This record gives sequence, C-alpha cells and structure tokens, in this order.
Amino acid sequence: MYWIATVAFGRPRNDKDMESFGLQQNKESAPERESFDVEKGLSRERTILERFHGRAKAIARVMLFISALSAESIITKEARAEEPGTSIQTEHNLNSPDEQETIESKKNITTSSQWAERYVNNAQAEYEDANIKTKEEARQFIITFVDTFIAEFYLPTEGQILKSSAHTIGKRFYTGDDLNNIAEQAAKMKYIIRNLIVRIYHDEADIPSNESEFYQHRLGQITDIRGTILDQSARRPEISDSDYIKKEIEEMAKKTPKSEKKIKYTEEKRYL
Amino acid sequence: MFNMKKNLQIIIEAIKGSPLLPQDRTDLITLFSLVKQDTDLEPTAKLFSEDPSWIEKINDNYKGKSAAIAARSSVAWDKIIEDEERQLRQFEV
Repeated sequence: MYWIATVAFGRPRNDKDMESFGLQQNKESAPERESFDVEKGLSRERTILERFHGRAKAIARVMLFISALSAESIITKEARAEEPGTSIQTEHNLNSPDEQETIESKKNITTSSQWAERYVNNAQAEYEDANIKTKEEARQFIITFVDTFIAEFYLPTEGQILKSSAHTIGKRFYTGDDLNNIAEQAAKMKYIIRNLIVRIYHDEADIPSNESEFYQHRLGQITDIRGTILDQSARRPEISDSDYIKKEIEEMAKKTPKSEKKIKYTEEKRYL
Repeated sequence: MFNMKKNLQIIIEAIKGSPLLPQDRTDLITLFSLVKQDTDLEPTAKLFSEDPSWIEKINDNYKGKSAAIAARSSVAWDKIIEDEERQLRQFEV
C-alpha cells in the first residue's frame, strides 16, 4: 500500500503526510503478503487491454497471451512440486552412502551442463503432457527439443565459453562433473526419442523408409555427442578443473594470431 | 495467411538474433515451444518479425508476470498492467 501511494501521490514528506494517506507510521513493519487470485488478475488485465484498437490491439493480444502462458507455466511447476515423491533431497535427509556420493559428485556441475538438464526436462515434460499422436506432431517435437539440444552442444551459447576471437565458434569448458552430466542428459534425450518412436510407430523397424532417416540422423547425432563427451572425459589429465582451464587458455593464446589478441582478452572477460 | 514458415520457427529465429542474454533466450524459446497450436503463435511471430525491439519488452513482460504470479503479488501484477497500458497508449490509433 505504501508503494502504491508513493507512485500515485509522490513521496510523503513527513508523518502528517503519511497520516493523510491513511498509512501506518511504522515503516519497519514488514509488508503483508498480498493474496492474488491468478484468474481474477488475468481477467482484470484482459478488461483493460481489450479497450485498445489498431496496432495497440495487436500488441495487447501478445501481452495477454504471455499472461496465459506464464500462469500456466508457474501453476504447472507448482503442481509438479507438490506431487508425492518429488521432494528435494538435502544432505540432512539422505539415507544411504550412495545417495550422499551422488549429491557430492554433482557439486561441480556448472552452467556448461545445466543447460542440458533444462532442455531434457522440458522435452520430458512436453512428451508427457502433449499427448503426441501424429507423425507431424512427433517431427515438430524433435525439431523443437532435440535439434535445439544438438545445436546448443555444437554451437554453444551458454556456460563457460572460450573464444579465440569474436568471429570464431566458442569452445565450451566443462568440469569433470559437467562431462558426466552431459553424457547422462544425452542418454535421457535418446531415451525420449526412442519412446516417441514407439508411441507413433510401435517399433523402430516399422518406421517407413522415407521417415527413418529423420529419426536415425538425430539418434546418430546424440550418440556422437555421448561419444565425444566420453572421449574427452577419458583423455582428461589428472589435474584440477581450474588448472585444466588455465592450460586450455594458454594453448589457445599460443594459437591466436597477434592481431586478434586484443579481442581474445575481451572475450575472456565476458565469458569467464 | 501471414506465415510462409511455421510460426514457432519464426519466433525462434527472431529470439536467437536478439540481444537477450543466453539464459533469457532459452527460457523464452522454451515458453513458446510448449504452445500446442502453432496458429496461436501467429500474432507473436508477426510482432517479432515486424518489430524485433518487442522481443526484449516481451521478455521483460514475461519475467515480471512469472515473478508476480509465483509470489501471488497483486501489487506487482497491477504495476505490470500499468506499464502495459503506458506502452500501448503510444501505439493507439
């Protein structure tokens, strides 16, 4: 209430002003959590935005669309979080040493592989919710979720990225745990593709020859990603992750032409 | 009909070419990817194609709305609607 009052009427200068706004003088009290009915909020927004015409109306349609998507997204996440068996494990409620080891081994997972978890979780959610029935829907699913996963792996935009110049494709740096995580996520993505194939065609062998290439190509690319990652993991020297990245930067500096070195240092600051 | 290609592809290409942070790009693409009917995306695809500056504004709009709904804050929600009205008044014909 205090915030709305200041926006509408300007900041109160003294306690007398505060009283005229009907506000409590105790500024130290924490504001009460507002109760907000999402449906009513959406309805209120719709009532206001539907008054606009012309170009404004077209933009208002998109804003209302975003409201509906945001509400659905948040409410779905909350509903999932409340499902039995989805409580977050902490070190305090773990029962077995194996589970403890899993949590500890995940401690060095960075943004370089967290993107993969997010992509796979989104694909899994869509696969479960969308009730994909037709070949066209299956193809669209693959293009939307699998192709973007593969593109992000080979043309990295997220994570710790090293670039020798502004014009080269970045090289993403992975910790040892990131490599394991990416391999795991790639396996999950492959599993989703296979489940999708079974849903639509009942068996991989039953995919018509003119469509088989579409799925085999993606399965092959995911297999290649796993192979690349496992190969990198096997060839990794037995040094700490921070020493490894220093070594990588030194190697990259040696290969970078003098004329591009200025750009390289700028990129380092941006990405590291 | 507006789209020569799928509306989702148009939106994805527009977002990837925008100056949004990588995290924001991914989240926005994921949001639109979950829409079942591609025709529902037509107004958004049209807006982003005609005026890419709206990608950043819509991203801010989405983040604000998600935060307001997650916090169940009618104050935050009302502020967002106020901002929307102000933005739209500039375009009213």
